[in-house]
Amino acid sequence: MDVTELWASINEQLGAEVVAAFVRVGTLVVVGLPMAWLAARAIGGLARRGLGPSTATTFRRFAWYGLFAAVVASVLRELGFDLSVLLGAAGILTVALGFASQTSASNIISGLFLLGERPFDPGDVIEIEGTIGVVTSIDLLSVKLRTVDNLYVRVPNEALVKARIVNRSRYPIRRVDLRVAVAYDSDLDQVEEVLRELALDEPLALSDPEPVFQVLAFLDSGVDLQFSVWVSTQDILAASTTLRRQLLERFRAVGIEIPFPQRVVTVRQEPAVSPDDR
Amino acid sequence: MTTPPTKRSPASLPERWWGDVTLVPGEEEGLLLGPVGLRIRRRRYEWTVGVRRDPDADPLRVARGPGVVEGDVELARFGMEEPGDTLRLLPVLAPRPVACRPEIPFVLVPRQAVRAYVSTPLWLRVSMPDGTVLVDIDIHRPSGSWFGPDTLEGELCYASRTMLRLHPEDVQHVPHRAMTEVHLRNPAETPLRVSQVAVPVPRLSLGTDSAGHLWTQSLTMGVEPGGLAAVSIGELPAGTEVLQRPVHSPLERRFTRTLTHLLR
Repeated sequence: MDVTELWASINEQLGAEVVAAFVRVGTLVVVGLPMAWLAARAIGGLARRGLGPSTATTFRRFAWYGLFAAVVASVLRELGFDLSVLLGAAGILTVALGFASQTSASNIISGLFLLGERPFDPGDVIEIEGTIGVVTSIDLLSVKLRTVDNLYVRVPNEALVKARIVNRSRYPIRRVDLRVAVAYDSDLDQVEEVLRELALDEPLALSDPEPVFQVLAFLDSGVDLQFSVWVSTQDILAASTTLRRQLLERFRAVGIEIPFPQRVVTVRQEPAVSPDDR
Repeated sequence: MTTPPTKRSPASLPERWWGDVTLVPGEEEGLLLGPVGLRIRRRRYEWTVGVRRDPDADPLRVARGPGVVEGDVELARFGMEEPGDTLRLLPVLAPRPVACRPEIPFVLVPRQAVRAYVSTPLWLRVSMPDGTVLVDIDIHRPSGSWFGPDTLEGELCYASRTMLRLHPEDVQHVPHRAMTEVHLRNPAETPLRVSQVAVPVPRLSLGTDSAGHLWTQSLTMGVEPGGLAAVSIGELPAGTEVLQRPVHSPLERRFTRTLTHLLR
C-alpha cells in the first residue's frame, strides 16, 4: 500500500473533516509552540537591552505563558471545544483562585512595580528592615538576598514595596564619616591638619570631592568632630577600617587625646560637729 | 643570561628599563625603578616575582641586575609546565583616567590656546613573551579621585599633581611616568580656570621616543561654541615607537555636557 492509498483509507474511515482537524491541530502544536517559544525569547531579548536581565526573564516568562495559552486555546477550538464555556469556567475559576491567592497576586503585582521602578538590580547591596545583603535574584514573588554572613533571605515583593529600602551600592562613591571627640585642650588646627594628611596619604581616600572637617558639638568630656572622606563604594569596608585605625595611630603619635567620659566631682568639707553641740 | 648590576645616575636618564629578561633555572634578575624594587627568579616549573616598596627612595633611580633588590619582598609564584627562559617587562598606562591638579591655579585667558605638558603614573607589567600578563604592579600608588560635576555623575580616576609646564624643555621626564601633551583652547570671551585636567589614559596609546622618554597620544581640550566642552585624541609624537595600544576604544572626538566634566 503506497502513501496515496493509505491517505484515502484514513479519509474514508475517519471522515475528511476529522482528518483535516487533526492536521490543523498537529500543525498548531508543531509550528505554534516553537514559534511561541521563539517569540518569547525575542521579547526577553528586547527587554534585556533596555530593562536588565531580571526584568527580561519576567517578560519572557509572561510572554511564553500567554502565547502557550493562546496555542492551547486554538488547539481546543480545532478539536471542537466551545471556548465560551471554558472562558466562563475560567472566569469562575479566576475569582476562586483570586480569593485563595490574594497574597501571591499581591506579590506578583508588587514585583511588576519593582521591575518598573528598579530600586536595585541583582548584585546590589541593599538594606531592608535591618537586613543587609547582596541581591541574588529578583523573581515574580520575591527577592532573594545573600547576607554578608552567608544567610539566604527571601523577602516577599509585597513587603519590599511597603518597606524602606537603602541601596548601598547604587552610586560609585560613598562618604565615610569619621566621628571622634578630642579633649578640650586640643589644638583644633593641628587636629584638622593631622586628619587632612591622613586622607592625603591613604590611597583608598579620594582626593576629590575633598574631605570635610566639621566641629559638631561640645560634649561633657570633649569636642565632638566629624571628618568625612569620600571613597569608592567597592572599597567602603576596607577604607572605613583603615582610616579609623590610622586616625587612632596618628592621634597617639602627636599626642592628641581622645577623652574618656569624665565628671568633675567636688567634695565639700563640712565643719565637724561635736556631741556637745547636738 | 643576566646583565651585571648597573646603577644609573639621574644625569644619564632617561633610559629604557623595560624589555626582555632571560634567565636559566636558578638565576634571578632585579630592577630598581623609583619607589619599587622587582626581583624575578626562574625555577624549573615556575617564575617568582617579588616586589619591594620603598616610598622614600629616589624617584629617579633606575638599576637593573641580580642583587640590586635587597631585603624582603612580597612574593608571587606563577607555575607553568614550560616556563620558557624569558619574561617581558613593560610600562603600561594606568587602568583609570588620571585627574591632574595644577600645583598653582592656572587660568587660560580669553581667545587663547596653549600647549601644556602633564605626566601620569605608569604601571609595571610582567608578562610572558606571548603577551600573557602575569602581574601589573603600580609603581607609585596614586590616590583615588572622582572626576565629575557632582557625586552622582562622573568617573572614578586617579589623582595626580602637575606643574602644567608650557614648554617641552622645562619638562622633567621621570622613568616611571608618561608625558602627555595637552592642547588647551579657550575661544570664549571669559577666562577659563583650569583646576584639573583629566587625562583619559585607558583610551591612549603609550610610546617611547629615541631618547627613551615615554609619551602618550596628545590631547586637545577646550570649549566649543555653545558652551560644550570637547576633547579629541591626537597622535603620538613623531618617531615614537608604540609600546601599548589603548585599553578602551579611542574616541576621535568626544563631547560632554558641561565644561566642568573635562576641565574643572
